[in-house]
Amino acid sequence: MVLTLITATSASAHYVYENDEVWSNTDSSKCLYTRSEVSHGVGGGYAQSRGLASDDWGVPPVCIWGWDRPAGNLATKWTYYKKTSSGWSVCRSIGWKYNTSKTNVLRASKTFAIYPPCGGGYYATKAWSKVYYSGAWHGAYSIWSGSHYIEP
Amino acid sequence: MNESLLPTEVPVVGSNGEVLTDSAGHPITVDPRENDPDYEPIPRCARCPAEPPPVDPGDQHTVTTDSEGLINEEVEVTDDNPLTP
Repeated sequence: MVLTLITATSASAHYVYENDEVWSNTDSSKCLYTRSEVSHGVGGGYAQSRGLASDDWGVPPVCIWGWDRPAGNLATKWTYYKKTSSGWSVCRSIGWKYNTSKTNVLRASKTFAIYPPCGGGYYATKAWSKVYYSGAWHGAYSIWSGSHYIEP
Repeated sequence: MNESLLPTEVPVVGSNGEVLTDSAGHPITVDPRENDPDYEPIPRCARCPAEPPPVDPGDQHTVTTDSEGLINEEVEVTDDNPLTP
């Protein structure tokens, strides 16, 4: 697992992510990673999930290289959380997004342009991805990004 | 953050970070673990046509291939209302 906070000189360059393997077949020749990210974006924040049936930036190359998945065989989704005085609450959420053509990485993201969608404070993304293989869906375990403060 | 500590039903917050409530004043909650119905990518019978994968209105799908052959599909989503089924 990786938990990263990158801080650059610009307020638009902060992001926090985590990723982990959520499925592999018995000989680990095929696998699926989920990456969950929260970011400053362009000021109002940014939520992203990735389903990776391949190696990609930020994911250790321990499984396979470029496992192409046909249209509709790879999916990802996220829920965007905001911390309140009583704990984490749901701010935004999306349903499954499917790849529409042959793909080995699928990302679903939203940039909140100026203001964070539920006011300033700590945000986090919970991400899921799943892959269709041998007649069934696999993966779909959630990955928590870690939290990131976004100014009002 | 231990994700397992998150409750099953989670309150929904509005644009100012306030917890949304129903007409009786109770917090509106959702279950983030709730799964959408699975899309079935293979035809239900040998002669049935394969259903195309669902695409939500307004979403922007962009496919790129990098120099190493990784095919990356990005979806910029539109509807992210947690109360929309």
